[in-house]
Amino acid sequence: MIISPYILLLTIAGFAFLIPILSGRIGVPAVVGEIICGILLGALGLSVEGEGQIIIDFLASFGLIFLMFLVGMEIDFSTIETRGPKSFIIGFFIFLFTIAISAYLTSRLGYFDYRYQYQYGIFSALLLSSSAVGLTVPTIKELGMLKTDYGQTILVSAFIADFATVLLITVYTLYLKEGLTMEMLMIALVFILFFAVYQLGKLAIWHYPERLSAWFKSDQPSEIGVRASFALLLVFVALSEIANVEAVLGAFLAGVMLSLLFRGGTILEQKLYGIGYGFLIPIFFINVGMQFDMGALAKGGIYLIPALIIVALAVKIVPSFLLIVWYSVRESIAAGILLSSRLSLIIAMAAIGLELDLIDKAMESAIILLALITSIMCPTVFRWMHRH
Amino acid sequence: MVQKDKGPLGMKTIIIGGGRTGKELAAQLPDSVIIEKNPEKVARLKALKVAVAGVEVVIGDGCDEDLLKRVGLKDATTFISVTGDDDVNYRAARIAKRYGVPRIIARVDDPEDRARFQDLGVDYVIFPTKMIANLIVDLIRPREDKGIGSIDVPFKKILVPILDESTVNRAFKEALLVASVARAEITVVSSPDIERAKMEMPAREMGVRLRVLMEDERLMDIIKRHLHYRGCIIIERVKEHLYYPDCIIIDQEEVGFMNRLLGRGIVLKLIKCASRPVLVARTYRYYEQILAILDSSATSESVGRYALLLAHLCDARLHLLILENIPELVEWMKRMGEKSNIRIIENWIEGNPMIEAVKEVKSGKYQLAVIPWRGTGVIRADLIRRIINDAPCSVLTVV
Repeated sequence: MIISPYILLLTIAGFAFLIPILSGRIGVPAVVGEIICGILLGALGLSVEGEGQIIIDFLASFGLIFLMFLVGMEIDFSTIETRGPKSFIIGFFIFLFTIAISAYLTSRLGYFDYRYQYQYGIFSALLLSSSAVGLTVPTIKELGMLKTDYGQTILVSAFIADFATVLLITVYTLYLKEGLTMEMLMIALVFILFFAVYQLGKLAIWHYPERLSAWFKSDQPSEIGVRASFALLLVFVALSEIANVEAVLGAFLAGVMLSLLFRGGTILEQKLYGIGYGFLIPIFFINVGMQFDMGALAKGGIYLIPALIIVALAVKIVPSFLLIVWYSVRESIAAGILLSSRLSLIIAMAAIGLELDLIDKAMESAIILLALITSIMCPTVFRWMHRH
Repeated sequence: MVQKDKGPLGMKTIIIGGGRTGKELAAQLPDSVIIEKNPEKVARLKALKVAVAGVEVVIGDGCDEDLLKRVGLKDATTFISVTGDDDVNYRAARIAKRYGVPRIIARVDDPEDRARFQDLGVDYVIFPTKMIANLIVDLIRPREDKGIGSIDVPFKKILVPILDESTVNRAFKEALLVASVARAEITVVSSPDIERAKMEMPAREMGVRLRVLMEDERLMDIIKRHLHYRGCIIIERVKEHLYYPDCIIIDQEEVGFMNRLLGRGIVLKLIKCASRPVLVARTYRYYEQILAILDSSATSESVGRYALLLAHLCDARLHLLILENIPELVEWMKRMGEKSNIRIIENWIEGNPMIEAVKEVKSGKYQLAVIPWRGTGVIRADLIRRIINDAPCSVLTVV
């Protein structure tokens, strides 16, 4: 059924309003509800045409950009400052093992052999190495483990996994597009700009605290803090476009920047979360659900699910045995299970993979389903293991 | 009246007020001039033979500029005004300031008068009434009822590494002030080319016990050469002298561009390695307003303790900058403050904690900021470094 884009937006907005209420009662993340609603809308055959579709596509892709921006804001480098490099080193080695095991297992699934292009295997291995900071933080917080060594180690491992996955996928996609050329240095340019803006930001905090203070106050009718955050986001997104790097990297770095400079500015964070999770991000996830290809899943994707779940758990649980040096076997396994949850990032990265033809529709659908399953299952098992 | 020559220490001291304090001072400071207006007190001083020690007792008004000139105000190195009248002490100190006496010490009884003495630029303002009252209250209170004085964390042993002569006038000066109120002893690690008397004289005047480890050239060499790379060596070497300081007071450092970019520096290295409070001296006077930056980190309790203790000892106002919801800690501090007669001002922030912290530290209202020694999550390590390097006030970092 072809409808006007505003009717579709109204439908999305209606669902976006209802889903958190319902998912809260059922006990599943709102994102899961949004994707399922999107699948239902897609199954009903709702669609828009022409310019309307362009608007919806743009809003959904900007939702993805904003999602990556907020994921970046979740990255908290202060844990490294406060806890020292131990948890960072542990997290780094866990990620190295994760990526190695991921590459091995995806090759065992046959993604590296002649039937597929090797790019498929590499991209899938990278995808499966990701984690879900957005799920790990609330679970750890809910169990009162945020300030424990154990909780911080899991968090830092999730941060590193997400950060490294975004970075590696960006480097890899650029390599595929341009080859091993000077263009690769453009990524360095983005990071140089990141460093320069960070230094300028620090100077600004020291020299103009009075002016910056207003950004974080609730009584600002001009919402100068929100405007500045959007400007920062768009500077990095535009620069990424110029540098021919994935725009999500720019958005992610802009979020990391905001976290590095102003972490704890709760009112501004709340406003940005409001814009993101209240409007743009549900459009992205509902759109992902609407694009969900049941046919592709039925044709082959469904058979991938058990294998993907096993790989997704194995690539996180096996490296977590490194934690046995400091924690019990049970705690190490529990950490691996929580790190196995995937949600926003893997879906966002799968969307990029599909766009660049690095994975097929069946794989994308399987990954969405994997995210839905692990996002519900892993935190629940972790909670259960912690309580018993 | 013949001008007196400088004493054997090369210093000349003029004391205004021949009461008990003046008499005690004169007994400990040979070759000083004591001016007293009351003829009976002058007679008593003379009868007690303080003059035997080379002290000249002069009858007259301590605010009489001509008299002061006649006793050698222009050549005086130290001017101490300890009468029981704040106005007399103020006027006398003002004349001494006009004549450029290098060190001026004044007694102040009324806390309301404190600001004008400090505005005048008096080097040391002593508040005997308040300090004695606090001390006595601490002594007589039952143990369980004691305020902050009962917390066993005062600086009993202060270490002052003097890397060059300017530090004598800065970090050492501030160390003397802290030691005088905390009844602590100071150990100075110094090179032999720095005149010992420059430290001993003011320490004696302030009643502070002083040890100077200046014979060991090797030690200073090690400190200067290696502090950049291994700040902890200073602690290790001092430990070899069987000295375990519970606070280090060091001069502020000029940080170059690269060090700033890389977050390096002598003071930062020292703070990182010291595992004890380090005070970066910038105020060089008694603290009237102290800022404590508090969040939910474990270090905040120590920050609160030290801030309370110093506020109590200096009779300062304590401003709490509360960055997170920590009602228990704030309640505890308020309780302690009440028992110890400390005025506490709470400031629960709205907005970004780091920006609000910068705003307060840079406001110029405070003489001392007490902060955690490293980033806490809410307060970034970068910000801590910046405050240590560039705050307009002294900074005490707490472990």
